Amino acid sequence: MRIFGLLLSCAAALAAQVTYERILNADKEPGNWLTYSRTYDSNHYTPLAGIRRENVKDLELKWVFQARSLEKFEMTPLIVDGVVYAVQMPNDIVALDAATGRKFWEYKHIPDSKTNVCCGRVNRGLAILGGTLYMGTIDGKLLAVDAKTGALVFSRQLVDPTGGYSLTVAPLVVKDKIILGAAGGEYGIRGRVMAIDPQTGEELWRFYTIPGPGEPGHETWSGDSWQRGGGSIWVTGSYDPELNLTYWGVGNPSPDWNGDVRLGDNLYTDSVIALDPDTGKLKWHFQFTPHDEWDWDAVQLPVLVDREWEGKPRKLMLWANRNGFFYVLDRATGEFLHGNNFVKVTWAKGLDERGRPIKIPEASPTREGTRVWPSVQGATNWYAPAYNEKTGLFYVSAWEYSSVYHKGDPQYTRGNRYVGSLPRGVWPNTMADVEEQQGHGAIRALSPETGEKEWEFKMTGVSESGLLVTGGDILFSGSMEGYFMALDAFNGEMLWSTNLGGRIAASPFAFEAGGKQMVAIASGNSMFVFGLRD
Amino acid sequence: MKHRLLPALLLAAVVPAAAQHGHATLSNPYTSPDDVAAGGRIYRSHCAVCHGLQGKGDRGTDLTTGMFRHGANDDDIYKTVSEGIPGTEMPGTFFNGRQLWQIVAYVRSLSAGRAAEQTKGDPSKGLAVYNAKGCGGCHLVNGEGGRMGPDLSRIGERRSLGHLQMSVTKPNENVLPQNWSVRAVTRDGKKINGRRMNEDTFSVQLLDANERLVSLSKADLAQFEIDRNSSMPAYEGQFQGGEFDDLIAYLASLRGPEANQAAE
Repeated sequence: MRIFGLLLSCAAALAAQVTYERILNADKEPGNWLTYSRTYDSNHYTPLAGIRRENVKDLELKWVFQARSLEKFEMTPLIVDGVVYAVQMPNDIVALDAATGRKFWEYKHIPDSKTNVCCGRVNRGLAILGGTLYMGTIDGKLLAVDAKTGALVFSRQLVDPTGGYSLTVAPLVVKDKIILGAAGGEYGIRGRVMAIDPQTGEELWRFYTIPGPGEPGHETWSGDSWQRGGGSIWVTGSYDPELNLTYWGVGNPSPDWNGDVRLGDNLYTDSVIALDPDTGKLKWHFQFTPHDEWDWDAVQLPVLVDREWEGKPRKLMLWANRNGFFYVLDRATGEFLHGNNFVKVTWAKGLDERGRPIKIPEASPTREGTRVWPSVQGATNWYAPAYNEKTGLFYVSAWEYSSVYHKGDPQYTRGNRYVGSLPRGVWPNTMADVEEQQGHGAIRALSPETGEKEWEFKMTGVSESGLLVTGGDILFSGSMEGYFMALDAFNGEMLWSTNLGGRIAASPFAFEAGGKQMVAIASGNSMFVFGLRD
Repeated sequence: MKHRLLPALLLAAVVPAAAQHGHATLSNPYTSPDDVAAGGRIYRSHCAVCHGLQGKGDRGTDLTTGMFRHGANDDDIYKTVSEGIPGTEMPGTFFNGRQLWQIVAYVRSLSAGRAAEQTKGDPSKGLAVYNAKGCGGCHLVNGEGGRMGPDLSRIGERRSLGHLQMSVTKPNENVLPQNWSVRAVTRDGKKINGRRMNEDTFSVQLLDANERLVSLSKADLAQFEIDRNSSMPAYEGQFQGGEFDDLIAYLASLRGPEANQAAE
């Protein structure tokens, strides 16, 4: 028995080495979840098909991880050969047995208390390469931690929290580099994407999302506003190995709600940027919201899809943006192919032939306040959309809601908020104190060709939950009300739901434990794992 | 480290005595109208995201009540704004001493107006009007009365005089969603009406006409309607003499059982 046990642990030791090739070929091991979106194309699709439309009613709770933190749980964990690696907010790492939820180890990091984050002390996940886990912290460090023991390998200060910088994004491994970016779009940062040496923590290249003097795009900023122009990175990008391009969505310009101090288009805020992962050089960009005055970060996952476009195979990028429009881009060149609104939109008449919004001037924030659809939380936000080749549908959590946008007087002081007032009506609430907070959400399935809605599942409240579509033809999602639910991926029919009691602000994920499919989601400050009844 | 020395020295000139020595409180040295205005500008950019543009609270606490749980002295508030409150979402900030005092001045101004509101009526006469009109049939005051309308035990703390007047004369003008009514019919024909207490995609919770807590699954309902009007009649033109002012004075005096006991 003892010899067998030793052999088993040696096998586990070998298996736990996560190479770039394993991440690249993630579909060969669908029981694992090796990078933020499972695969580099960020489709949020799992081939696992043990849980299907006909048996989903037999789901039962297998285990719960209750975090010792009251902060909301925005993270997607990694699952590597029977071990779940999760972040306990704000910056502790835990290693759990995937079959039982029991803890192997915990690494505790207490961030500096003088750390400002706009929207909660959150983290969205980890990266793994070799036998080492990587996590950005809200006080600006990149931590490397041994996946076997939880021991710290190194800690490297990447950005300065006293300047409003923080790290909340799950890093992305591309080849021999760890790629991530800085958050702080409400604190007047100068945004950046960075590539880090996984052995030493040394910065290998940096791409500023706000171009400096002499760089293309710098002319889109008036005066010295570029120095504190925002352009944060807080949701993980995608990667196309054939094109050797990594795609990242860029956050809002600073200050958020007063554009007078930063005249111009404000590149590359609210854009998708396509970077060479070896050098950090920009290949192309597409800006969704030039001169944004509503805080519509383009932090959605770049969903990479290969399918026919006007009769020919084409490498596409599908993007339902926070600004209310759905876009189809050619991801080799950045060419705009199609766009239309997927929720009510009152700030633009539509998109021109190059995808640029035709703005309505009266929709800009004013001192008295201007009501605009979509709301400040956007038509959708950072949580994962999904795409399934079999149904051919693009799925998105949508908000039908508005805010009243006020313009204030932004004053920049280092490390403090730099926003220029704020909107009313941030969160819809079915039991709200004021009528203007009424709004509703829906899960919508869009046709990539037309952007038109094929079906929707309408909700009373809204959803900050991402989506997961499965080989069992199920679309899993959640709601702010606390429901975890399964819809038929073909027609949106409700198949199963359960009330987990806490706000869901995370994306569902799936893995295998003991050879059986599990599906999981975080709700409140806990993570719930479901499997079929034995 | 070098660059930190100068701000630290400047700050020492204006930080509260209590913060330096651990005892004795200090009043705010920056309270001029210009300071309040400067504090307001900082507030709207940095604090309003949680505490609301009017200071009425949202994720953060309501700052218009004049009550501060983490210390109500000027230097307590200064410390809260500067250092944050450990274990909560209230973060520390990086403002200099003068700016911090200006924020304190503005936060103080948010609750200053409450004392200035004066009612014309007599609260004790207003209690008689309240009883004569049968308000207690639907409203609770300090545990007595009905539950189909909002609890009024602290309504004087929470609403301005103007809002109270409007609520009595024109109750449909501003009906909060928690006061909307539900009319439902189950698939087996049972009618259920009541006050909507909560609702989500799959269910609705209500207080029915017999004051029973009822939770209904929408899948079990043949009909489901929400009435956004108030179930209270409009009392415009229903008062004589000073009755209306007396009733408003009574409502404005309702500030919780502790306050009412103290008044007695």
